[in-house]
Amino acid sequence: MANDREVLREVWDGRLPIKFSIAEEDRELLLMEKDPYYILVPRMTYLPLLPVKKHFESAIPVTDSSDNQPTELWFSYQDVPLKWQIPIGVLYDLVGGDTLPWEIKLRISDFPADKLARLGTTIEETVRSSFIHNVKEAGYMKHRGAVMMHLLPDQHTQLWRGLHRDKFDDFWKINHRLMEHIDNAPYRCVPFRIYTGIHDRYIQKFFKPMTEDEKLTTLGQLLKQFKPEAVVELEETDDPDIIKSYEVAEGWKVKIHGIETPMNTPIQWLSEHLSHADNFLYIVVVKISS
Amino acid sequence: MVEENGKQDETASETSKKKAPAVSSEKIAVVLRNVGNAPILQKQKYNVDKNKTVKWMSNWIKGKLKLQENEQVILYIAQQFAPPIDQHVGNLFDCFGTNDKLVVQYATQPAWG
Repeated sequence: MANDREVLREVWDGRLPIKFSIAEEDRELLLMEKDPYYILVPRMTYLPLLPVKKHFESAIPVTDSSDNQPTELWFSYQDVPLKWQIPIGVLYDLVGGDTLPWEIKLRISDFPADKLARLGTTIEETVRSSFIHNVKEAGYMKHRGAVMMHLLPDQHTQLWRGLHRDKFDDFWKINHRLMEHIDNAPYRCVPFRIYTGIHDRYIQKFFKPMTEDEKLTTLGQLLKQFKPEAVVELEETDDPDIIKSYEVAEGWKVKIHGIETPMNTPIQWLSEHLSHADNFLYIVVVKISS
Repeated sequence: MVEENGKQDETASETSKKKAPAVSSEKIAVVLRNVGNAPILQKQKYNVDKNKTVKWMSNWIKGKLKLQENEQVILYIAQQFAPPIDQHVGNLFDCFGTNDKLVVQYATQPAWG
């Protein structure tokens, strides 16, 4: 049950240095010049929760001159709008290209409503609600909601605040219960999402962490089933007793929290230790251009 | 779910061809259930393209219910959680479908958090 505290702590402490600056196309809309904003951010958090707006606030007009609506902030990287529902670490692993600091542009016009969901006026509440529903969905996949159902609203709040305020102990006090094995059984199925691109359809399927004959299933087996082009089988064998071994196919990268995770890692362990705060295991699978 | 074809006098060979699943591999069967004050739909069972998103389904149901512009439709699964609006119906069916269909609750106000 997520017993390796050292791993949990390392994952929690994962950070990315980011440089935020106003996009070239919006410079003329600014009320004054503003230097870029440099910040070290937790991989596990979400873009709207960062104090970026605060830094640029005095330079941003309150209303958008094109439609007289309140100015809506959004983020882009190399002209790709960044979805706020995806944890920052996952966004970076998808498009950041290994360069640091990661340079993100802040946009204050032309909100791409076809690509991004609006945050509305209660930004933190919108992000919180999205987060909690992901936690509930993951809980349903693991235990059919048996644990989640018994959490009080106060405990949801503690989970959220733990993430938002970077309080590892507060967060894990509640999250440990969500990582429980009910009746010593592995999870009913593992909450995971395979991302191949920010705006691509992500893959989320039913996958058991243990086979009928009690063998732990691996990351390689999961990818073989749902993203077969990204893995190759190491040993061609029909012997059902030999657990098939896989490695990442040439020209592909598979990352979890920025780590190129070994293909033989059991999915049950990954779910408990390398999930994001919302209890989903985010698996980034990208093709490297040759 | 079987789509009605209305034909009365098809030949045996036509019938045997139709023995294949009536829902094509690109569509999945969805059953819509209202929550709280949300109006009940005349028809609850539909075949939905598995590439449609939750956002698309919300708007589609909103249209069917003839709601006002400022009203909303929120979708829930298992009476427990609201799936993300960018999630695809195909994923939901694969994860949460039972007996070859996906049951989705729809509400006009937040129902379960």
